[in-house]
Amino acid sequence: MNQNELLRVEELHISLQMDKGSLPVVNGISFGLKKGQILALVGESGCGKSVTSLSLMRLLGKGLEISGGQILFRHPESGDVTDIAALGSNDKAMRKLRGDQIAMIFQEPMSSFSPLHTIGEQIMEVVRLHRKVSKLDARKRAIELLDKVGIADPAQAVDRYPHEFSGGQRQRAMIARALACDPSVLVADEPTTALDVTIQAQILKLLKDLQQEMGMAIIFITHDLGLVAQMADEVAIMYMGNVVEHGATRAIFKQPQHPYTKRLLQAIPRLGVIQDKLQSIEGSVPNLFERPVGCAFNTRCTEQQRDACQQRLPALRAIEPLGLVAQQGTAAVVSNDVGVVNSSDVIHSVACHLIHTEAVA
Amino acid sequence: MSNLNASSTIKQNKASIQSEETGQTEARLKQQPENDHLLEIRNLEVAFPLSKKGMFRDNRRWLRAVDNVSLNIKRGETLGLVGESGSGKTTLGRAVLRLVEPTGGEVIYRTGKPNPSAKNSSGIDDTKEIDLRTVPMPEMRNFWRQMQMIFQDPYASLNPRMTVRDIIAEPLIVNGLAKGSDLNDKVMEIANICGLNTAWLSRYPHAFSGGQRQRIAIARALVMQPEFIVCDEPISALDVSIQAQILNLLKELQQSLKLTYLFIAHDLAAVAYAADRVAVMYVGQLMEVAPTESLYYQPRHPYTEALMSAIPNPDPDCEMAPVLLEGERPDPASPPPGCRFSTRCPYAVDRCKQSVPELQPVAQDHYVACHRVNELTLKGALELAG
Repeated sequence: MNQNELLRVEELHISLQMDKGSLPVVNGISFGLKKGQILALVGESGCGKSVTSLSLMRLLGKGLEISGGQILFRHPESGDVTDIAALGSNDKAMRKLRGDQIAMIFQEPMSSFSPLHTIGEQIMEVVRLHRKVSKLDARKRAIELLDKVGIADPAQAVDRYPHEFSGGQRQRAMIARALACDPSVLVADEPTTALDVTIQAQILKLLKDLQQEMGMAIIFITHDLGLVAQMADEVAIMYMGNVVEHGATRAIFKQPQHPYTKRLLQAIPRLGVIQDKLQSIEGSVPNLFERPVGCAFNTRCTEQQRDACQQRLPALRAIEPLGLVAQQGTAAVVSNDVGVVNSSDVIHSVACHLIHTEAVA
Repeated sequence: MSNLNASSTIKQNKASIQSEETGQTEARLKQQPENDHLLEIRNLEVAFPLSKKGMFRDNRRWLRAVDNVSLNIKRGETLGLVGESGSGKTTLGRAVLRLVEPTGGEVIYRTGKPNPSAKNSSGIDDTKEIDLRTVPMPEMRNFWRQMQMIFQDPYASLNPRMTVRDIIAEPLIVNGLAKGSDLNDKVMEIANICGLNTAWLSRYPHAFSGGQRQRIAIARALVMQPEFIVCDEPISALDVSIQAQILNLLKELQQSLKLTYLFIAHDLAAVAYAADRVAVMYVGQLMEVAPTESLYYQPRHPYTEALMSAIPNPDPDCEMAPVLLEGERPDPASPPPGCRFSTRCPYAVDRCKQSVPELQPVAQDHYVACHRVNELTLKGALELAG
């Protein structure tokens, strides 16, 4: 684990336990997260992005198990490193971390609040679970948090029930609850998918402000590439339980290497570009039970495939920095943006037999 | 117009006001050659009662989900309908097909194909105008042959106990349009057109992925050979790589089958790709209607500007500068007295809070409901993005 990393996921395997055996859902993925960084996990449904995020909180549903690998978390104050994957999901150490150091916001704000308790009670619960404070202080904290996420009249709102909030307000309240104990890592699983664009813009601004203000690291899970481009410092593209490409946001968007990333970027409708026909990716993500042998994308890949594509799963390897630097030289005109700062220290890596030719030989 | 429980005299007054308004709308419509309008929605209103009717008095409060909306849909075009959730866009789509009963206004439908040769000589063709609201419910079935709907969630809109063949064939059977081998041929043909593998027709929906299910739903809508389809968020439940397939399919079908779409969606980039014209709705009313290009790049309504600025640009070099709207969307059960958007509009003045702006033409095909339309200079989608 790197010194400046808060979280390091190393060769994480998650599988679904069934009567007939186990089915791999996440296939040995690795990534790191630094303080104040936004990492986006991108992929289509079934690629394992939500399962990965739930495993960080040890909230995996029934039948899903971490079957290998490590999730190392470094406590920001003491510097102690804990392997979350080795803890039991109900261990005291895990319960201490969850909601305190690592917090999560979910896609559906309606189903993640109890309808029987006021918003205030549900925020106070988190505060009182992790901090020794009086009810009154916890209530003050709840009001302060609601104010921070931009809810009008927080002193009144604290006593309202979830159904009295609009969708955007509920999502803000959920963020307030996640922030209750100043977590160092926030896992945001499709936080704006259920919201309208104008409210989405507000929530994104809020998350970015919080990240800058409090130095919070965010794992941002989404399938919306537009959001990724606007929010993330670093991107990991997932396909069928594997990270197929990982790099700085700008590198991924400007110089995508993996055929899946390329096709995905071509498939989205873009404003200001006249598109007669969208370049769709034919077929659909294979069923987990019918995982293709070799590269998981080989059923939909339109590139000239090699034998290895049908035989072995390609490993995620750094692409030759020379090629990237040469290409970046042309792009260096745009030097003022965030992407360039990061791209220097983020290694761009790809899992594709067509790129790592030497791996074939 | 806010009291539906009024006595008969007030009702008459209201009727006369409404006919005046209709008159104005009609005058406006006359600017266009009328023949290319497949549908003319005039002053459509859909109101839902918020409480029960009393035994002696009707003092119900009403929620106007669609409030005085006038909109034309041209033959062969895709009209995009965008707005926040709860703005009434789905209700409008359903009200056009009378899947929810409108409480006011007209939905004029022109049946029959326009006859171009007749148009050239005398300007008369063999189309007929029918106000769908006056059609008795049992007869609506004849119109639903021509007007179909595709729903948002292909996981919910297909009966899990029916095979795909039965799902696609059902409309034909119900309407007594085909049977036996003819039925089978028609189902096979439409399945082919929609890109479904005909060898899989005896499977059940659970065996299909989201994109394929949406293809089944499209096939079911098309098997009746409709001319008009309401697509209610047809791609929002689908994966990114599949969305492009369905958008392409809808476009191809439109060209080959001469279809007209009302395309309801909240993904603004997808609407920009799919639609010829776009209507923007906010709390039950239309804010702006314009050709797609103008609406996205030269919006004239502040709400449209806010929407356009909030589209996340998939280019990390273009930083977003969204117009962040203050406050919350007003409750449609008690909308503000003036312009519906005045409570959040960054440009609102006193006038906006007092009277409701009319939807007025500002350019060819471009209609805006804003008091300050001629005073404001607004930015389009990409100007704000970078």
